[in-house]
Amino acid sequence: MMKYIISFTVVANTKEKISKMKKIIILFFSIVFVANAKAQISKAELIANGLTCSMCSMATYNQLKTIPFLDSIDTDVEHTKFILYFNPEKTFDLKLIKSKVEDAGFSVGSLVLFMEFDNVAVENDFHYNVGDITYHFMDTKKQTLNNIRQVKVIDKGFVSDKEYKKYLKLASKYPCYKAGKMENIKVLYHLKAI
Amino acid sequence: MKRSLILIVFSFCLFQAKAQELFLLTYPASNVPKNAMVVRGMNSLFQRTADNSISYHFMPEIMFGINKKFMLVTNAFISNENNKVNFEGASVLGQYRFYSNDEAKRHFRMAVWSRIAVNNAEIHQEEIELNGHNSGIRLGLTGTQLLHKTALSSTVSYQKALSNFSNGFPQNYSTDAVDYTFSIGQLMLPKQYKNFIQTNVNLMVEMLGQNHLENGKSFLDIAPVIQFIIKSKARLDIAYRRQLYSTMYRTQPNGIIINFQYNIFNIVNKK
Repeated sequence: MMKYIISFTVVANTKEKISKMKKIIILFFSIVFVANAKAQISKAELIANGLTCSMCSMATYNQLKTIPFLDSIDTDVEHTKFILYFNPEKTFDLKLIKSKVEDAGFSVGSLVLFMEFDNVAVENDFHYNVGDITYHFMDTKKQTLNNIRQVKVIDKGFVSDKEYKKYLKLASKYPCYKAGKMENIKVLYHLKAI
Repeated sequence: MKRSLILIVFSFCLFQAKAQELFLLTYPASNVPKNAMVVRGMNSLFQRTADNSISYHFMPEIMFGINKKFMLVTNAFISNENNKVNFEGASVLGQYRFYSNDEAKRHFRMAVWSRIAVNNAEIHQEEIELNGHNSGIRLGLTGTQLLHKTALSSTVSYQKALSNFSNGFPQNYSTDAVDYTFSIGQLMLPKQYKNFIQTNVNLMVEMLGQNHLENGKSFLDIAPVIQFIIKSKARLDIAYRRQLYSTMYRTQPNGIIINFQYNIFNIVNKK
């Protein structure tokens, strides 16, 4: 009887341990999941280059309006700036923003993302993976990113030609910057934390 | 005397006159945005030197952005020659922007273009004008520089006039010409943009010259333009084109041009 009780206790303890393990595993995955979900872009500030007049801003605004993952757009005509509000339910493609600005006849001068971080330690050459996307940090001081932080996309076509040449010099060690792609990585963006 | 007058006018243009690059009598190297359509109604009222009567031309025009580098333009020519409404012809123009360097509120662009025009009007002057008067083909190169509120644009083109259907081409007139234009403009109002609703006022000056290759005859015109942009979608231009000098026979060198146009965006690709 005693033996049985002991063995029952052991089973009970084991069950408890398994349950704790499960909890830990669930908690671990949920943290990972939350961290992934938190790496969201709520909005972005876009400055279009090559234009001054309001008719040109209107043309750019109308091109941006056709982007399916944007909820709404605010415009600052004086500074040719567009605030893009992302729909959190939809998959985004930053290259579509670039091509829409180019379809209007202009180019991206700067695209700053308002991105949510949860204790992410970044530095030069740090790769941050979120789902299918890899963010490669460049020209960034060692720091820990928390909450909503501004990061600038510095890939070709997201900065002026002059600025791109500057980053190309800095990125001589990183062939992926010039190539704009890396093996086994579906989507690659180069970012600078600001 | 003529040369110094031209020099004075050019200097005046460079240092005094102001406007943006939405030129009226020439296209800048920038194109209409992809999937956007511009509908234009161009009215020209030029005075016939022979009897001071008014020669009226209405030129409805549609511009369409095929992609970010290529636009197509088509227009029709309707006149009041012989005191009746005449449909005289039409033209098609394609422009390809092959170079673009953009910075904040500035750009330099270059484009090549070609216009093919058919016309059945009677040829009554030596000036070759594919926009409403002559059948022919024209090939051109445009360079445009935007510097914040100022824009400068220049074109050089070769054109060959062909017979105007039943009306033929006068034997003693030159069929080949080189045209050159220089346009400058500046955004005058608003001083600061607040929204898309504000009316923009642009002032421009365009210089248009033509040299005939067979006989060396030439002319040079100047056209000051005032332009109103309404709600960032519509545009009203009022211009006065005047001959500065001419060594060729022209029947109606001076006149007024009034243009109204409306931009329709995303006619193909909506969200």
